Amino acid sequence: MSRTRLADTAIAALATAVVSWPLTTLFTPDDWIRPTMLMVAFVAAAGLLGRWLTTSKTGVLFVQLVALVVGAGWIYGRGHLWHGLPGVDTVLAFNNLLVDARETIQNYAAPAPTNRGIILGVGLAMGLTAMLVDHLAVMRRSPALAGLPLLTAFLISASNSGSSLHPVYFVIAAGVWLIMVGRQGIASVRRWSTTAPLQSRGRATSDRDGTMGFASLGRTLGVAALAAAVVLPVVTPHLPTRYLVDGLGRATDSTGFSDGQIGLNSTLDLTRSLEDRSQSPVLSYTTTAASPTPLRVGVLTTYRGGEWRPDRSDSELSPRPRVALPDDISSDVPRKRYRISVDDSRLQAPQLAAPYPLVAGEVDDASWGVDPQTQVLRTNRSVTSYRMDYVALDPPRALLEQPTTDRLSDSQRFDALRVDRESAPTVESLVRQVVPEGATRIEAAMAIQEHFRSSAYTYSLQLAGPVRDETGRDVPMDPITHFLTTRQGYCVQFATAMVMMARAAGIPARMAIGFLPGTLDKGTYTVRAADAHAWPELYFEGAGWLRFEPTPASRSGQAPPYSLEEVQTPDTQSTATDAPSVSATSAPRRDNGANDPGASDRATTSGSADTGVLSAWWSSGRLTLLGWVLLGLVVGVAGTVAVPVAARLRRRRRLHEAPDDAQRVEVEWQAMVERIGDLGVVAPRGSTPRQAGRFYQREAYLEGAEVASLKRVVDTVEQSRYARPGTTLVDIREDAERVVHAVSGVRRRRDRVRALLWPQDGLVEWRERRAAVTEPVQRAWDSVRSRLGRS
Amino acid sequence: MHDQDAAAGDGQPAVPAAAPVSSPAPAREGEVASLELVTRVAGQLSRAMNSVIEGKPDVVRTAITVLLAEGHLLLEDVPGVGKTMLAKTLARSIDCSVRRVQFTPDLLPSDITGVSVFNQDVRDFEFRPGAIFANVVVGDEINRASPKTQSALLECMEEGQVTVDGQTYGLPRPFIVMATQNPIEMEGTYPLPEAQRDRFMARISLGYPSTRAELAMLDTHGQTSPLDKLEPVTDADTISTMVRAVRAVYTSPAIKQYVVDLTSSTRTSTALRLGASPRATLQLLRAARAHAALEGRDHVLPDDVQAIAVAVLAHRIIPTGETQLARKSTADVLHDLMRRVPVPSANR
Repeated sequence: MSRTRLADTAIAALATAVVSWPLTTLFTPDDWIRPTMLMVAFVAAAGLLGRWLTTSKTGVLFVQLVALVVGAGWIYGRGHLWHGLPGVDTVLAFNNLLVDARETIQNYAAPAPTNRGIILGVGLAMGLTAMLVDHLAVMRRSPALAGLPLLTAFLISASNSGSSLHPVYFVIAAGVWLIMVGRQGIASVRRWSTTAPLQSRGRATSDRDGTMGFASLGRTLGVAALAAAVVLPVVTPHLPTRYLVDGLGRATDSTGFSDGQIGLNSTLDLTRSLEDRSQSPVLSYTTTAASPTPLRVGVLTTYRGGEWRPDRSDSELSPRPRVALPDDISSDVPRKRYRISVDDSRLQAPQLAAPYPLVAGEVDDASWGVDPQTQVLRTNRSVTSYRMDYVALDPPRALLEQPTTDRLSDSQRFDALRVDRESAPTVESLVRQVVPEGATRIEAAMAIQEHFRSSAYTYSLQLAGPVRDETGRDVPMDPITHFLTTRQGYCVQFATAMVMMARAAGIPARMAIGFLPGTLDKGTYTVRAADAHAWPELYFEGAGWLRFEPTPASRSGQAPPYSLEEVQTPDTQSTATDAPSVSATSAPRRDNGANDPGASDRATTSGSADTGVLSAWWSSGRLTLLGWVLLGLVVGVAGTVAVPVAARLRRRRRLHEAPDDAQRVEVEWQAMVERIGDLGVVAPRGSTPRQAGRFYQREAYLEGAEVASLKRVVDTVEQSRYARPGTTLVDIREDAERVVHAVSGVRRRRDRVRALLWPQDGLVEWRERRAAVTEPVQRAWDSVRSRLGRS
Repeated sequence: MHDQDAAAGDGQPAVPAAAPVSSPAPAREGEVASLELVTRVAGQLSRAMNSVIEGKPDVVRTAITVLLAEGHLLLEDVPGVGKTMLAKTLARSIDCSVRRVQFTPDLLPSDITGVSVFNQDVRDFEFRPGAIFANVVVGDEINRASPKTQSALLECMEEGQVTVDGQTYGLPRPFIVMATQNPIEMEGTYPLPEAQRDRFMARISLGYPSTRAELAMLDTHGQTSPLDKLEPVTDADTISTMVRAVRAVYTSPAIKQYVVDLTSSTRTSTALRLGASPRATLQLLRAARAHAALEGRDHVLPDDVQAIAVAVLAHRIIPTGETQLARKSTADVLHDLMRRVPVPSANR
């Protein structure tokens, strides 16, 4: 039985099973678990059988490989077997299934639906992992190396789930791996000829000295390492990667940001929940406006099959392109001109974030262009700093009530009025409910916006589950209908729904994507990836494309003034011109009860605001970097002087504690011996003071007065130790100091520095301090253990 | 019966009439010990001896140390290197009674201790003291005597008294036995067992002299023996005073600890089959005291212990087979141990 190594095999299989657990976050439902566990067990059993049959490593591997293939055939290939064995038909079937699996993985974000292909793929992969782990940990007796395939399997889950994995997955997987390593370690310790020390000193618990001692130390280390691995990342600040090496940090999150640089995904999928909101900064800017507007990155007009598709941009690139206010804005609209200066932009080319509408701009070190229709910016390379002038329009109500759209081209009008066919019935009936009969265009738009900002809708990054009918079956729905039914979603759903409703009400509308104004800190706004936002732009003749804000205030802040009722304008204006808000999410809200979002929204708001402040504190630029450097310096200096200071304090304390002259002489002598030892001159252990003195004289080439000093020291020590009590003793401090100085003079610089910075006395002091702390704990633990053992 | 009593005719005064005593004379404690006297007389003694024994000052010094520490000396070496000469030189340098016993297989215990003989004149038994009744007893080739005779000698050495026919006779003070032994000739010898070797405070091997010393020897020993010209430099009373001075030398607790550590380390050492006995501990400390006194010091240093340790301990310990195979002598093992056993520093 020992050759088959049942226990090791079981632990290896368990480790493989445990690392496949986080795959539950990737696939739903969990149909794959049972066959996968069967595969792992099959491989482990084949390992046992192989080891029983042969001692050859290759032989066992072969047996396991055969078992893997046959097992996969039995488990996954039923109906495609040839006399109970996998054949060509099985291979073809498997191929088809794996192609399915690949498509599923490519098309779905986590969690992906589990189909037969996925089940087969996971089973084969985990079976192969089990085989590798078994081979490394059991056959080759190197469980540490088996950590590599385990880690690979674990990382597949960790890197694809789109959010951070719960620590429990890691703790359990690492725990099982440590048990595996620990068993192997104890096995090799037991093979030593002796583990019992020849002479036991100090504590009488002999159990601590042998194998049990090693095992208990190992367990302590293992638990400590696990705890550190979980706790340390929590308390360690996550510095922005660019402070280390630009572009090294790769964090692909669900908003489509990746590769150190950040780009807004110009395809918006309405079916996806936003699980993670990255706090990495996108750009920072200063502006002359008291309340900045969102920064626009792109405009989408085409919605098809549940997705917004990017439009073709026809802007021409040049170092100094012409920037002009769009034609469709009348010159008599009241406006204010503001300037925004962006630096530290990390947006990926060709994207560039800027307010709308622009009137002028300059970009450093790049060719760029402005789309004449949409004013979407485009660059040939990523730029970090640029300045843009824009205007904030305040169109008069009368202008917005004009019913014509003549300035739009036909194709533009056609695209901007096309309602999604699938959701059209729901959208149109809702428009009839929301928009009063005979409303003007602006009234209709305002009514739609009010509708979404009412408490009937819940802002949530998580989309609601499928809608079920009375019989409990899922009702298939397109995303917009689903949103309008469940009334739960985030900015993309709100904006899309408003676009569709506006189009249904006859107002040309399009989708804008970009960023909320961000967080204000010391005059600079910082926009983070989590500030990504989408909003509708509606066309009004003479005023152009105007921003509306259907997303509840908890997320987006207040709606633009022209989209609000006339009576409330002074109120909101006054709040808006107050000191700039700290965060977009906590921007002043309208005091309108109808617009006040639900309590759940408020909780979300405060939560996200808190994390925003926290992360701002960690990474708020240069000062933090300086702080880190200073902290490092302080820690370094403290670490450097810790040991020498401890040594000095220890000597002083011992001198102080000495009850009589003899003891003082003894302390001085010990200090001298240790300091000379630090300099690299160590007398043999059994030396008498006299022999040590001769040794120092010889090794350090002492002469003249130094020899006399040394002799006085040695004589005094002999007197104090061995002569009749009551002998008068002289103070040897100066003599000892002279001897140490003389010895130090002939040593190498390296030894001198070591003696200065790393005195053994200091180390002993620290060790004793540590022991003073750990020993009571150890004693308590021992007593608890013995009590437990008795009971 | 007494014709084997090899009282060497070396012109020394005869043994004073042995008076029966019930116990050895108690040492007069508290007597002011004159270390100065010790160093001066010891210096004269060693000068006198060195004039005869060329080039062996260490051996001479150890012999004097043993004399002052009230121990007995075992001289073990190959024939002809001067064992007997050393013993005789020490004896001749001191003005005291000396007996030399040539041990042979037919030597009887009574030859050593003495015998009660019926005296016709007084019509009573009369004790005729044996060869042991002297201040200095030189036992030549001790391993040639039968174990019975050896035991008799060793008992006298240990107890400092002789018991014959129920009467106990004290031995004169100072009292030192210097026995020689030849480790090479094994035929017809009775080597001293370990238990009996333990009775000797120290064992000395003289070793061959250096070339220069041997050349000088050819000149001095050519015509007449330098031993003949040697005059005593001190007497028994002075030696007794010196012994009392040695007894008064102070040994601190640290030194006692060190001596115990050293002997117990021989018991736990893996290189040794038999370690040193508690008697060895006692004698090591006494020898160390004498060594300190010879240096003119009134307290013992670890250096004194180390200086005398090999002579005192080496003949009492038995190396293991592996140590012997590794060609390590017991002295090597002791040196190793002395390098390892830390010197205690706790004073009091």
